[in-house]
Amino acid sequence: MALTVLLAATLRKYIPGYDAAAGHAIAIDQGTSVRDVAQRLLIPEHEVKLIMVNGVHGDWDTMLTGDERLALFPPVGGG
Amino acid sequence: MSENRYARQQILPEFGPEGQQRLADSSVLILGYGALGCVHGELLARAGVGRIRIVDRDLVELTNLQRQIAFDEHDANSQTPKAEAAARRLRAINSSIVIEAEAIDVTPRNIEAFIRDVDVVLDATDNFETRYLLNDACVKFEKPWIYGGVIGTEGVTMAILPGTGPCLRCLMPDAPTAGSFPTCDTSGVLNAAVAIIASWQAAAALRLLVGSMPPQQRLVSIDCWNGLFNSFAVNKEDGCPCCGLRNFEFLEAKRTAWTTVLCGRNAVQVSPPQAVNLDFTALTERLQQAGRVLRGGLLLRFQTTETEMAIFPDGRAIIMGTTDEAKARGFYAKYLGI
Repeated sequence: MALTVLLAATLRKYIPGYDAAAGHAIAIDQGTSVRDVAQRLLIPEHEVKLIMVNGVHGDWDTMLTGDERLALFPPVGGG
Repeated sequence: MSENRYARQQILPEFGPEGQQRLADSSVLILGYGALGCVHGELLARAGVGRIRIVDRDLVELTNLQRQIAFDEHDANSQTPKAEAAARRLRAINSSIVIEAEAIDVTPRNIEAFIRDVDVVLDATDNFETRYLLNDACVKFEKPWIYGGVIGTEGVTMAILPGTGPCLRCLMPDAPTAGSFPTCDTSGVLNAAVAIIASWQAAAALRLLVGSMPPQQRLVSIDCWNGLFNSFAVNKEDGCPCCGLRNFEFLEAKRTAWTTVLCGRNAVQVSPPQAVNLDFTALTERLQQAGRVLRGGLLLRFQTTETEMAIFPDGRAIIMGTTDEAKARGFYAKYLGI
């Protein structure tokens, strides 16, 4: 059982060799927050604008059980 | 019997002659006419939307042509306003519809006039300040709008139907901090990614206009380079400052960047809506992708072929070589992000 972290666009650089199709799997303890995961992966909080947990809008304090799909997006504003 | 130019569309059960007539009787605003807007205009004019209003503050440049499919080298060489080039093209595509075009900066003072008499607004802006302003205006006047944004090889989109679902501030309560995030000019953008997101937005608008079931109010993200598609549930938040508390900070110009023409200096100062503390190292890294950066003491000097600016740690920037405030705001949005 592992958390799958899916990173969009410019956030991918924080995980060397990041595989966009598979995402990045990490083991976490139950009760770990989204903020804890970002800190562990050295992803700066201010670069993340959208947090989705298992397809639903979440936030920094959303608690994880350890088997979710966590998607993080930077501000997506080009047009 | 004359040929029906919409025959291939009208035989779709989703349209039919009634749906086609509804399109003819309807109107859209395309806010911004960059890469997203070019696709919106093409699709909606060809589909037969009766009145299309285009509002854009910019001129066509050579670096636009990679993704802005309405423009050509002649437009870039003559630095034609995008609104003007777009109107010419759409009138040539479909002379039976009305095209209204304005080369103007959208601000809290004028946005109401642009959205009041249209049925739906397509977001083709390149900055968050205008998007949050659009969100305020559309929620206040209950106007549906379709958010779209792109960066790199991917993009996101969401239909926002005020009164029935979440708004932009339910999704992102605060606008990103000025000068702290990637833009297409500093991180690049894949033309196909823009076309996919813009097409998705256009389909949502058409669905609304023909009176079919309203589009789903979910955030859709597509990375066409890596073959990824996801859709996310977004809740309407009771405490949302905009649609929940009806506090229209952007429309009331409380959260707008300020511009000041610096007399006698041929320069404009742009100040972000709130004080920021810029990370010069990260900003230098991003700006180096787009031009020359010189870091000295308390400021960054940034130079491209089209502009030169001095950037201060509090997010303020002095844009040299112009006294045009809209142009200066445009450069700020392009390179620093706002």
